[in-house]
Amino acid sequence: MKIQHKLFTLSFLILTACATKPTDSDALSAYQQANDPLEPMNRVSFAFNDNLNQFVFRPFDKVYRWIFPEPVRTGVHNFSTNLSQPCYLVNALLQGDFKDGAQIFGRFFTNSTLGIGGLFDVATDLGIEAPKKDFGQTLYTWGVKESGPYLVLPVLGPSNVRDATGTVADFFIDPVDWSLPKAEKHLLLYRYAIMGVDKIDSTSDLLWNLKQSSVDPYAALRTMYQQNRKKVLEEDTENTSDTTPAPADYDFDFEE
Amino acid sequence: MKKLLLIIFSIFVSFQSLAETPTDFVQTLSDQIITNVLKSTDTQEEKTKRFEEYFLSALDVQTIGKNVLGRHWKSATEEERKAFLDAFTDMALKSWADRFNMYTGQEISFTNETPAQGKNQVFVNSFIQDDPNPISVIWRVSNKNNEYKIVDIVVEGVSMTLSYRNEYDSFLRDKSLPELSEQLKKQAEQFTSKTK
Repeated sequence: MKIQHKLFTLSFLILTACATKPTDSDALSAYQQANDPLEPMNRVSFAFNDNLNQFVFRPFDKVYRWIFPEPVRTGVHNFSTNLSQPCYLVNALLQGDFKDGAQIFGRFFTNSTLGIGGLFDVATDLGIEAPKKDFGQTLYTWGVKESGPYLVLPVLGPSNVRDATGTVADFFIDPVDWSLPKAEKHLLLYRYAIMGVDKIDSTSDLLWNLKQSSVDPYAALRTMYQQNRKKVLEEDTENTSDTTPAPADYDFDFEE
Repeated sequence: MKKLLLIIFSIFVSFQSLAETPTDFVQTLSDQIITNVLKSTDTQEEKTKRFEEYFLSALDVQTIGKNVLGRHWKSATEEERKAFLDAFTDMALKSWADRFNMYTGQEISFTNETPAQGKNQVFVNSFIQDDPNPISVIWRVSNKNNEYKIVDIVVEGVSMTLSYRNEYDSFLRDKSLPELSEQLKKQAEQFTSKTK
């Protein structure tokens, strides 16, 4: 009963937080292109993330950079990236992409051994590619072509209904997580802490730049995320599907 | 003699359009920016000035600004357009100089040209050889009166023009064009590079 009540409140909040559809035809097409009916709610998440970045992540990153020299930070980045590979591999297999799967396996194997537990990225020096495979992509290759409305997740940032579902699924299918014995599960905390530190180090400045150069950083990040995500998904299936790709988003009608 | 002078003069004038293909044009430009700006040891002031010259001569800012505003351009007065273009150019210049500064000496390889919508336009496809994965950079080049100009730069699927358009469109939903120009002007003045 209690849960039902909460769900009701939640759905009510979401419904009332919906953006109002414009009536003017040009404005309507812009509205549809943005695919963001939950904009008011998303803007709240965005503001939260923005404050988090400004008051917590960026100061933290400054200290992190001050304490650790670049080689150490690169090691942290390599270690964190290497631990993501098993999850990429599972997704590559789920997508039936064995070519990328082999690259990912080769990368993980090489860096875990020659690269001393992933601290060094030997695989890149050896010319092994670094495909990224998440469950959002897996859903896309399985036929979920529509992304669903745009979403801004607290802390994690821009996403959409399909890819947010993928993020949750990735969390559950990650072999690094479930291969750890129960007594060692606390190690995961360190793993996610390291991932978080690396993520902050690679994104906090970019977000800051975006904020400085945009008159509406929320809308700027939304369109950049959507365009980039679309490219990643389409490029990935380019080799495997036989349908001709739709014209790219960036090939819009350009008036002289 | 007169003829010779004329030939020399016309070669001089058409130096920009001497590039044979759109790819040659982009390649020459990027080479110039890399050698004379990014890898140059001159003062920052000097380099910024030089980048500005390259940027403004190679990009058709007027066309870009017009397309960025889209429907808002059509309903704007001549004065509003000019104020917007001035502010937009300044802002675009600063944020792109900042982006180019992220370049750390990787090689750029040009792959091919693909047709684009719109008259006399073509996409020049290139890759920046970054580890472990190359970065895709696509240049939309227009040929106006035998002169090549860049009208869009698409990095990893993200189009500069389309991004500005969507962003400004969102801003203009509840604000006016003069307000946009004013805001851009203010932000361009405050813009300081924070790239590491």
